[in-house]
Amino acid sequence: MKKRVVVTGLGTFNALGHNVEEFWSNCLAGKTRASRIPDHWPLYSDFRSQVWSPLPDVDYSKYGITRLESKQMDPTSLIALACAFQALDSAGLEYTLQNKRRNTFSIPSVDSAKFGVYMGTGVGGLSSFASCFSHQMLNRQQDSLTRTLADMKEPHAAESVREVLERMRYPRRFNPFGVSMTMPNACSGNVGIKFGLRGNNLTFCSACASGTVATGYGFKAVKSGEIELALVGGVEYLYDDYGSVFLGFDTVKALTTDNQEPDKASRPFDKNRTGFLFSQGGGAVLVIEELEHAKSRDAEIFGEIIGYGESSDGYNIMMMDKSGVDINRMIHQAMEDAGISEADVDYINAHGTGTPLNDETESQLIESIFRKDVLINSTKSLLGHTLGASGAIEAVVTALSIKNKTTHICKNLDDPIKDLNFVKKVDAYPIKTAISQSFGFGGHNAVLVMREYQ
Amino acid sequence: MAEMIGFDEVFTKVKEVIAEVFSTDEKELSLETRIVDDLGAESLDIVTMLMEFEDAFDRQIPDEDVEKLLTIGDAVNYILNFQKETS
Repeated sequence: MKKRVVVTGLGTFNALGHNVEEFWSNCLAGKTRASRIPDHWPLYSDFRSQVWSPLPDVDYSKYGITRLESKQMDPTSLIALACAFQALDSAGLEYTLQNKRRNTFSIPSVDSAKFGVYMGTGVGGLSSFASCFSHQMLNRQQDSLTRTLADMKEPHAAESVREVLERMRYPRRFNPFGVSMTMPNACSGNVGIKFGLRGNNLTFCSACASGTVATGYGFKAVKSGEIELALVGGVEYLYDDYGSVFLGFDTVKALTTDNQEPDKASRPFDKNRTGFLFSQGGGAVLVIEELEHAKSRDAEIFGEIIGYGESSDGYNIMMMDKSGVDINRMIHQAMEDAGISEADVDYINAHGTGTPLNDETESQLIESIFRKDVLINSTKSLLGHTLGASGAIEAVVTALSIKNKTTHICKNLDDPIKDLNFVKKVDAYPIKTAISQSFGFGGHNAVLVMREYQ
Repeated sequence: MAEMIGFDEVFTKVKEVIAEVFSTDEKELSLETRIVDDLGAESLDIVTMLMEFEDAFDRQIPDEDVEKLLTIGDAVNYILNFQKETS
């Protein structure tokens, strides 16, 4: 028998907040955290896009993560753990220290074999790989060049060599934890290990749809009765010392070139949009739970996940199919899974990247499928694009929008590409049923259907 | 190059590292404490300990030298000797 699946815990860390409360408050205030790209990146390349959305400083010890752990885990795992701790606190699931040396916990009130972990990430521990690689490539070369410099007589040549040496950025040690930091599945693995969770543990890699796909698969596993609870979500960390991840997206002209005012650079669904605002990263984790299990422990319920759908464009590795035929098919499958019709959908948390192609395709689909008055916003208008984390962060926004009957604006939308009901002000909205959709490089499409709990 | 420091400071720093890596009380540590037999060190603990020694003493320690560090006293003497050799 199919089970009902409810959201009972939320956690996030992203450019707009160290926790859900701070993030939601900043969302409703329409804030953005955007700035110029790091000063040293242009030493290595010329960039079309000059703006990004950096993460705020973070002290992981405040989330219960030790100093040693923070040196031995990639930021994607640290973010996953920070979000998971919050989500469990939010769900009222108490954890107790199991092994002091390992800093691992158990959750005595649940069957750990029925507790799964489903995480998504686009690039996993790429940042850690970049650090290891730069050490391996540059360490001996820098020593050699330093010795050469000592013997150089010609001042201009010596100055040039000195400049090259200064630009060689790399950690002084090859991190012996490089493998476990780089592997993409470390984010779900570390969460499972941290809390002794022994159910299904999977990491999904579907580019910008990863967080939505992970949440969807966790939903399906709880719905089928395979597990009783799951921590689901997505994480991303996209910084490297040379701006090479940024350059990858900049080169294919995916990034915004609205360089004058960083806060206005992300403008999904605006006629003058030029691309997405690159985010340093972030993450979100939700506790999803079988309804009777949640009721038995009087858990607060943020909302119910009632459907999930996915499809593939089967078309192009970096461009979506602008006919939107497979996204259309996916949305209808998800609504069928949820047992609702398009007329039931009150709110859409759009993928809304701010790229010309995505927003044109997505807005046409929304116009052709849903009610004229369906509310639409893009969380990326505030946060920029966190790639594999975005679907999970947007699932948090969708749950909070349903729970609080309000949502954030679709920022910087001065001249909409279509006459749709984009959120222009924070107000009371009768949001009962919502969808959150994500589309990723590779042609991955995924959508969650959520409803207020009744 | 890192400054040379004396026995007391090396011993104190070694104990701080070991206490953090093995989540134990510094007061329970002595020069005779055996890193594997008494503290139950596993391979990743040893790797972590070496990383922390390198940071604490600002020196690179060759991986193969780990076999010389059976007790805390071995670690203290190793670092004292290593300081002399690399200064």
